[in-house]
Amino acid sequence: MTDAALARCSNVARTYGSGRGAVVALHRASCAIAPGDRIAIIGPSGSGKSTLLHLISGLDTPTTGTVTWPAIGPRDALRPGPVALVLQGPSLLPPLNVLENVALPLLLQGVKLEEANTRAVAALARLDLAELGDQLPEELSGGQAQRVSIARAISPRPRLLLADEPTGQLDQATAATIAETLVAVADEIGAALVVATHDLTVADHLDQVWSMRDGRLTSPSSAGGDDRREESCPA
Amino acid sequence: MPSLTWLRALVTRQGARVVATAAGVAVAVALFASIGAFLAASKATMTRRAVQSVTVDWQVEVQPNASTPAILRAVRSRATATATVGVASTTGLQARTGGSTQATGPGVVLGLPSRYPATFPGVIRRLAGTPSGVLVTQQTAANLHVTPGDPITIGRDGLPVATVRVQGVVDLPQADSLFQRVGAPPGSQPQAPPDNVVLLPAPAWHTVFDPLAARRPDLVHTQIHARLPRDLPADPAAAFTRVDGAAHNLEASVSGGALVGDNLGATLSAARDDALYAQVLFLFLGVPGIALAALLTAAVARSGAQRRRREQALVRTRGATPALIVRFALAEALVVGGLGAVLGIGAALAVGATSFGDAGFGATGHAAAVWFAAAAAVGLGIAVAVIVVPTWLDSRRLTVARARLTFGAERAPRWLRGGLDLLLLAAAYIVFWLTSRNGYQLVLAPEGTPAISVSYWALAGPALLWLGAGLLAWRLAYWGLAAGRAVVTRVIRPVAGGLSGTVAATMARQRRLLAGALALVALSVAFAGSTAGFNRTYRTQAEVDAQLTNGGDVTVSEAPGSTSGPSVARLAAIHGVRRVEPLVHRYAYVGADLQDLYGVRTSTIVDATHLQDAYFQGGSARSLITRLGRQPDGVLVSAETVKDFQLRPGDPLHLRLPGHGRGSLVQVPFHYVGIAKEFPTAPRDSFLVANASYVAARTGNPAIGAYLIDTGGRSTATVAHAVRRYVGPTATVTDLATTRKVVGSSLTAVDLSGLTKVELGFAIVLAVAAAGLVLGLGLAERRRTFAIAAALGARPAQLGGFVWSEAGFVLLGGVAAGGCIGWALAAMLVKVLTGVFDPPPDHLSVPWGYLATVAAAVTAAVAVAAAITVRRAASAPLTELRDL
Repeated sequence: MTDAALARCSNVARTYGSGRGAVVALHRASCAIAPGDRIAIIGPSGSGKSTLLHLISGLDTPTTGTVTWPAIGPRDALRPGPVALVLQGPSLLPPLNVLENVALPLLLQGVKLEEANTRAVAALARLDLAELGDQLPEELSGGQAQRVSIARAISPRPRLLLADEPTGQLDQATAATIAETLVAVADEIGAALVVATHDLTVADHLDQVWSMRDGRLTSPSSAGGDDRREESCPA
Repeated sequence: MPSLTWLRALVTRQGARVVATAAGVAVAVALFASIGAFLAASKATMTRRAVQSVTVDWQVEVQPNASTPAILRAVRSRATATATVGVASTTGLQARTGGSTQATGPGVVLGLPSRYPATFPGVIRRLAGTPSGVLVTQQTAANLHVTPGDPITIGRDGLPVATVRVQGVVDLPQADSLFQRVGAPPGSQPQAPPDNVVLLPAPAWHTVFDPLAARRPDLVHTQIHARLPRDLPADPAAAFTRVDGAAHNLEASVSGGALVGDNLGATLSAARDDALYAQVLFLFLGVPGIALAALLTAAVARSGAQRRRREQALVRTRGATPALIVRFALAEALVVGGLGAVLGIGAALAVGATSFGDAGFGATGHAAAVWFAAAAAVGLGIAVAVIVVPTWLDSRRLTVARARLTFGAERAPRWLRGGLDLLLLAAAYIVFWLTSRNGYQLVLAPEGTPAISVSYWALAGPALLWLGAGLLAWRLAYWGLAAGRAVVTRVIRPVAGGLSGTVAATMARQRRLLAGALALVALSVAFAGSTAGFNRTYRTQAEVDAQLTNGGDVTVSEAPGSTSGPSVARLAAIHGVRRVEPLVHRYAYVGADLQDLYGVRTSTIVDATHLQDAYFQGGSARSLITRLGRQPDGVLVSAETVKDFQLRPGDPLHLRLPGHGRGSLVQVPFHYVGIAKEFPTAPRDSFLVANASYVAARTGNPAIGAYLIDTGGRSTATVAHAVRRYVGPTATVTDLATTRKVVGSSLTAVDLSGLTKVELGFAIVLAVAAAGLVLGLGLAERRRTFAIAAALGARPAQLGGFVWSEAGFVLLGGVAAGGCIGWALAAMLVKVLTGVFDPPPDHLSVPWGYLATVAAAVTAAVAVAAAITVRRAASAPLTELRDL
């Protein structure tokens, strides 16, 4: 039977450093992400959310255990393309304007410049940012910069959209807008969405909540207490 | 305390950057200390060599009616050794040998005490016979055809001749100073030494000339030769001042009873000229290196400026005052400057110990310490200038919001908008034009005056060119990246592929950073290139000087008047000789002016000698010699003669030349056909070149004078030895290897090798640092950018597209611009420093090997910096993102 999971973690652990100074950021976590999933990974700072997200994105490799992407392919095929990551903090390339930033993943994929620009304009338009195409990142507000990051992430139309603390430095109202935007664009492009956040109001916009504490992935989550949400973390 | 906390955090988190900035300071300190100590050592060497080259420091001439014992006492109180020497004029010498009688014109007879050769070694060089007794000079022996044992008669005005028997034949290497006219007014033409000289023991001299002194006191006088204490100051100028002052003091103390022929003072005066040239060379060649090291340090410090501004903005939002922020910067500057000074002085000591065998470069301990302390002060000054000043300016002008901006608010710098680079280049040209006109002298040392001056104004030309060209390179790079984005996109496509447009966009927005790096690489390459070019040209000209002085690989010079020279065929038969070129040598009167005349075979002289085009004016060497060959009565004259006698091409010129008989002069008509500035074996500015056959035919005198022997540059010493054995003591044989040593170590040749050894080494260090460190730190400052690109999925090759495009732009642009600037600078330096070249060069000599080394080192530095950046970004983007 074919495994339809976009990403699957099996007993993955991540330790930084070695010897007495070693820090275990993630303890033997197992989970899977299916197409259409809307998942919030919540937990306090330092609980291992980002680490898990980076492992799922293929940006990092586990110390033990395995991460696979059955429905996508090998690690080399993840980025740019099927998997996109909205990084924590300012992540736009400072010397590129907004349009060039959004077109960059497409160019990295090998898309021709004209087509990349067309698709980047469309992605910006989707987030109501079309008029900012010529602006440089340093000229944007925090909310605008984060929305551009989202536009950049969706421009290659990924199948798995990951966002690491996308609202970490934003006010409450802007954070809510960002969360709504993420869900909406994921719906539009048909991508699974996983958001690591410590903001429960962001988690409220998603269907599932994975809870993390001290590097351990626990389930079900107690966050929010919303009955509509489904906890899912197959061990 | 807040400063200490800031410093601790700085060293902990930014340790590498602190060390890199300190390294820049260290290079400046090491270069300054090395060159300064070397300069001090060079000056001391010049003084030492000057003193060593003089055997008779003073020739004190006792004036008529003065008391010789009183003068002697006055001289002895100032000298370590003295000797009383009698000087008498003879009406002529005569000898009868081999059945014929030879007679000479007037001459000079010296009366020397028996201990004279021991007291003043080097004045008399024995060639044949005994070293004491009755001695005649080589030329006198040749004129009289006498050898030891032959009798000669000495003519005395109004008295019977005196007969003495020759006991030895000698050479007087310092005849010019020995027979000087003591008390000659400053600027007067030097007096040629007499052709005929006899040296008598003092008792014999008194026997012969005391009667003459009674009858004609104007023909007989007394000199006191003296050697002075040699504990002179190391600086030639200070040593000259002391010796010159002592001479004047003596003259004053004996109330005009004696005049001092100050040989030591004259030699030290020449040495102080050389010392000033050395000082000027230090400024011309050393200061750009120090300025470059300062710029490099500033660039290193500036590469972290954005981060520092953001940190300062953060601190200011927490309430820090601008004064506190400046104090933070001052603390950082002291740490960086102190560390740089310690490292730099350590490096200078190491350079001195390894390259010169002495950590102090041979300078005295005090002089070296002074220079090292000055270098440390310069290092601290650079640190303050590059760290505190920008911080102070930022604290006054920068708002917190503005500190966040990197690219958006960028405008072209004010200097660029105002065209400062073009103004500097225009000013450089004007200064160069003014200072390189005819008659311009970089070092002015009027004879007889203690004052000496250097036209430091001439420094402004190269300095302005260096600055202006560096800024122009900056402008072109800045403009090229902005306006030529489409071109850049096409050029970098092989490296950046489909990302070429994006890479070109990043380069365009970072054009200020990249233009700065390119300009710095250009200036460092220009420094290396100009120094090496100047050095190579200097060395080439030193070799040319040696060839010009010696004439051939081996040169045989006959005694004047000799008509029985060696056989060309026998000289050519000597093993190792490839070709023998006879060169007729005569003295000729141009009006009342006595000049050397050289008769050449126009068909062979160009190929037989190393004639350079620079020796001639108004055409190449070959064209002018060919012109001379076409006109048998043609003559090439010096530019000075053309000016003095208002000659125009084709003008007749009647010269008086020695005929076949002794003492007879023949008037020979010539026509002026061109100007010769230099000629092998000829004195400068006072000679003539004509057709040998015409000279021989019109004077009836077949004498040759000199033979230039070509050995192909090999075994010159061996060939010279064989030639000496053949020609015997009747002719002087010199070889190129010996002459090269003499020219290379003479006082008029500034010792450039040590200076350039230091400079060329540092130039490579600076070029590598400018290319690798500045580019590397610039790239490192943007690690986050590359890490984000990697996180987005950029492959190493794609990241390389960004990094290698920038590196290639900085490297190729910098090396190309640096090559052009270096060439222009070297050409200007050679022109401005014409005084150190003798003769002036035809063209610049290019040190290809050194330039290739610089290019390879710069390329390697850039490649390493770029490769490290790509590797780090591609291998661990998360680590980079987490750390930044």
